[in-house]
Amino acid sequence: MGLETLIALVVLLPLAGAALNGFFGQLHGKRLSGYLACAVMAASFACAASAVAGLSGLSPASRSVTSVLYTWMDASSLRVEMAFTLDPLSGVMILVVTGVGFLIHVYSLGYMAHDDGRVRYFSYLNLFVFFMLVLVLGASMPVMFLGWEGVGLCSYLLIGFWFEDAAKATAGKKAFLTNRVGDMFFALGMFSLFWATYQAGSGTLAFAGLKANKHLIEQATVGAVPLATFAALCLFIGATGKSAQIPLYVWLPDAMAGPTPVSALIHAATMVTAGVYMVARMSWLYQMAPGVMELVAWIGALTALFAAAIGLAATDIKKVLAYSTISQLGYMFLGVGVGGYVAGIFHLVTHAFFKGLLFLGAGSVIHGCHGNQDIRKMGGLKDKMPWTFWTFLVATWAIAGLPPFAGFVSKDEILYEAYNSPHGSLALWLAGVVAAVMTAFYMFRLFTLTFLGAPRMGKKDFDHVHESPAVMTVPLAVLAGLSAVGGALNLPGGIAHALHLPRVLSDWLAPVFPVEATAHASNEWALMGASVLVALAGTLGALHVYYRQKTVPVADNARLTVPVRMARDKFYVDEAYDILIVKPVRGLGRFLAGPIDKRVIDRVLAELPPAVAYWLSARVTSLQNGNVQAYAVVLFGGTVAILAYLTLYLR
Amino acid sequence: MRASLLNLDYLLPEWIVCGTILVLILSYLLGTTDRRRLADLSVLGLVTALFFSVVTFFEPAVVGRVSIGNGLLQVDPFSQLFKILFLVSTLAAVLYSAGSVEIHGKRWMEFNCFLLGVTSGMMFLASSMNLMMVYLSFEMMSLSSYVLAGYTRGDPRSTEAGYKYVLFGAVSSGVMLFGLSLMYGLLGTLDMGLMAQRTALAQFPDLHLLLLPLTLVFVGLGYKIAFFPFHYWAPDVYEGSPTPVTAFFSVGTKAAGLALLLRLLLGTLSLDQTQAIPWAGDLLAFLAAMTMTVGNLAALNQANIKRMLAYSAIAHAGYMLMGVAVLNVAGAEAVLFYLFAYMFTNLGAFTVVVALFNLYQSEQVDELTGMGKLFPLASVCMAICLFSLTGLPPTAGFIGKFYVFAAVIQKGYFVLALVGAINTAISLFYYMRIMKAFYFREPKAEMLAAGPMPCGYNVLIASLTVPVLIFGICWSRLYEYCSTSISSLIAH
Repeated sequence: MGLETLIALVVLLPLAGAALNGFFGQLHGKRLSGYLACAVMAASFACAASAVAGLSGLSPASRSVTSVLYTWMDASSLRVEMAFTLDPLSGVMILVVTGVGFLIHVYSLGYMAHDDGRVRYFSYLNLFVFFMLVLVLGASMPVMFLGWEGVGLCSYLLIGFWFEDAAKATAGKKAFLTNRVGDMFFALGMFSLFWATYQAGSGTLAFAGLKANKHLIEQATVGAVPLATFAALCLFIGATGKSAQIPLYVWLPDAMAGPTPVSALIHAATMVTAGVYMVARMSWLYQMAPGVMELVAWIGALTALFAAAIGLAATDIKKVLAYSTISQLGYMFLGVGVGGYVAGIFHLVTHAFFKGLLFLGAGSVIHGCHGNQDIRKMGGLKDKMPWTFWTFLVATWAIAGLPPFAGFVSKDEILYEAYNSPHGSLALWLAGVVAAVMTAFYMFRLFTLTFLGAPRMGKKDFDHVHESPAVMTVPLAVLAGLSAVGGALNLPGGIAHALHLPRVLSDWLAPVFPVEATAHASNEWALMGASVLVALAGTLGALHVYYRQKTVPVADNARLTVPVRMARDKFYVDEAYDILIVKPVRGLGRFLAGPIDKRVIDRVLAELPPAVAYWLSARVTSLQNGNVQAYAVVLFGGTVAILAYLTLYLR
Repeated sequence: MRASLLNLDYLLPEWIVCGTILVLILSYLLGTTDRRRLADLSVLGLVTALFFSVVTFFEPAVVGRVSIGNGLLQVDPFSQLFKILFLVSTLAAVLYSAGSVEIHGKRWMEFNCFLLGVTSGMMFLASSMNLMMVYLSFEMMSLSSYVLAGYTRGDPRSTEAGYKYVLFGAVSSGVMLFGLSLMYGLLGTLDMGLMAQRTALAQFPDLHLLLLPLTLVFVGLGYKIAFFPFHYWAPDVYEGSPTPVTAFFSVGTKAAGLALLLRLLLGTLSLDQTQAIPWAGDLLAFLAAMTMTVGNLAALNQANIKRMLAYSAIAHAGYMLMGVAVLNVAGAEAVLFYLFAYMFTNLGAFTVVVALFNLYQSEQVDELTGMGKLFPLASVCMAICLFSLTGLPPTAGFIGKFYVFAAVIQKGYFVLALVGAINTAISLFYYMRIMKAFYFREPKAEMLAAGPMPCGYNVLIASLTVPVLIFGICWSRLYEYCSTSISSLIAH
């Protein structure tokens, strides 16, 4: 098979799975639907792996293969092909999406075993993977946007999967609406880029074409602002929606209403990283807009800090992980914002491993505890759920940034870039470090409260706790392995140099990113040491408070200090948005619906025209009386009128 | 151009249709009275003719235009595309009339022969390059259709329809003949090719003299296509004729009239290239606006689906006239595409009406409630067809309207485009009335008793509706064919 065919297969297999399950799922039954979904994912992963292997066989400069399915739009100056480009960057992404996706599909077999909506679930899940692959492989911005919107749709469908529960349906709506804000800006950015190239006579939206016309975009302006800055800013706002950054992060915690494997796949490992991927994909554009890069880095750093602070006080196992995801995504943006694109993508990959694992582990815990998600009512699950316990420990170790696991290596690289890159600064590095302390703290807090200590649930409940079946624990084990050794993908520069080992990911991605080599700084070891120290500090702190002192978070307001209470209440951001945006918009809506729509529009626009039309209709049909003589008069009258008109016209 | 007295092989589709008429008569005389067998024979003939029309459409010699009988006829992609359209609509007409209760069993052979007679007239008309030939084929088409309109003799409505049709047909073809003879007098030839040369080389002293003959010919065609103010016969005839006939008239004869109109205006008089007759465009634009407005407004008040669709057919003639009015290639291409979209859509909608009439002997909107529950497939197809008639995506009707409006706006007729847009909104209203009856009201108790929709009708309805969707999504190939046809018409 040619590479082009393989690329098309990678994308189309999940679509086929979604279609088969979606249209015929009720025929072939619930059991089969799960196996079918897993099978297409396995096949898709195999295709992705062999496609990437094929790609690595090419010379580094020519590692970009485009597979054109058909022409999507052809409107003279705008021609968009339904085309997918496999290059090193999208190669990494498809491996993560199909690989982690496959594991989560398998896990879902167990997790959703008792759900009546399994067919629908697997159909949506396959559809999600399809759109995610369209997003990462899309050869042009509209194709990427198609995927971008598609994953948003699937996310909505899956958050509200149990839509009988009004709160869950509302969470889906919130996610969809918040994303809409970002998506509008994405579209604006896309239009402005097209406009820039169109003005210069070569309108295009293909990534390759845009990159080739870089100079045109650099010259264009929007008012007084350089167009590159405008477009980069719009695209980044789009990214804050999809990737849950300040100010559009508020939907992600609520998105935890969906089934836990969905949280793992969509709201941790893949979809939410789309923004990071997009910024990396458009890195050449961001290089032209240093101001926006700085903004990206700062938004990332602040989100990392802010979300980690909320994570310190959250007590729902999935909510802690949700805020942790927001925080880690902030790290990724910090990385790409300072120009460390490889670091950002590297963290994206390792995060997919350990955060996917954490969510799956949490799912296993929830599954074992029969739906309980409150960590205050857990504890002591270590012996009841050994597989879950050990794999969760590996993931926690990794995300806390303790060596030598994957999270340590990638996070360290981001911090290194934040300090040393020409776009970085001490302040950014400090923010990252503080967030790292908090990360280690809240993760070990979660871990301790869940697995260690004495059980805090009723004896009867505790007796019923059970380890999950193998179909769930095997994916956990695989992901744990990846979380442990994933760091080897891109060893820290100093270590790689000392051991004469290659930095696989950096070398692989080198053709994609602008060459702006951060000088090999001598402070690498010092920075690394600092990272290890803060991670240890956070870890030990958490263990001290929650293991040694056996503290359990309380719900009682009176016994909480003000900062903790604020963190627990998510700093009242939802409430602020409600007052500042939701309420005024609702009020406006009520005003438009009431006085304006009912009184004015309905009267003037909805009642008047039909009345006029009916009146005219009666006039028109009154001539139609069936009388042949009358018809003949009209016929000849018409002929004479035309002739008369023409004669007058010619005079 | 390949000119010869012979070249008769290029008329194979016509021969086959005429031959089918003979075969039908013979087999009837030999004792085949079974409707099914006769229908099989007609279908076989039509499909073969269709096949050869498609083959000749692509033939290189045809693309270069083949002249037959010393310029009497010409086979070119333009004529072949129209023949394909005629044949497809005749095929549909044969199929749904085969099961119709309105056409009485014994005389179905005659009905079929007249149907094929109309078709062969239309096919010759599309190829005519000589005014004499134009008139002959026009009359061949008309005479057969008069009989069809008054086919159900026992039904006074049908008799009235036939009678009115004959009266108006006679009057307007008289007017047209007068126009044609004046044209002959002015230009000194009946050959449309020669006419084109004479007007193009400006050997002709004053093109304004063509005003009178052109207007008279236009009146004759306006009657056939049903333009304002020559459309008054149409609702009565459409309502009175048996439904299968109405469906056929609303597509086939309109298309034939448009074929001649386009050939005359763009092929013969080259109104797209010469600015000598500036009044033509404005006049056509005015008539287009009036036609669609009158058609849509009148349809608004109709309770009878058939009569509603009859008025809607007038309105659609108005939309198509919009494309003619811009008098350029883009407009003509749009009209051709629109015709194809309209053919599938309108035939699909009418087939549903025929099928429901068979079951309930009713055409009233208020009686056919809750059809969505009783006949899901037919109702969904009806919905798609009505959306397409309105011009909503993703249907062929939308693409057709898009191209027509694009051509109109490019030409700068903004008022016309606005009128067209308002008309589209009005039409949505009455089309959706049918949908409301089908889907938002419960079926009446007496309606539940009717048997299931015959499988044949379901298949026919679906196969007319599927192209509506297909050409609403992948239309570029069909549009290319329309372009090829128009360029064969224009090039000299």
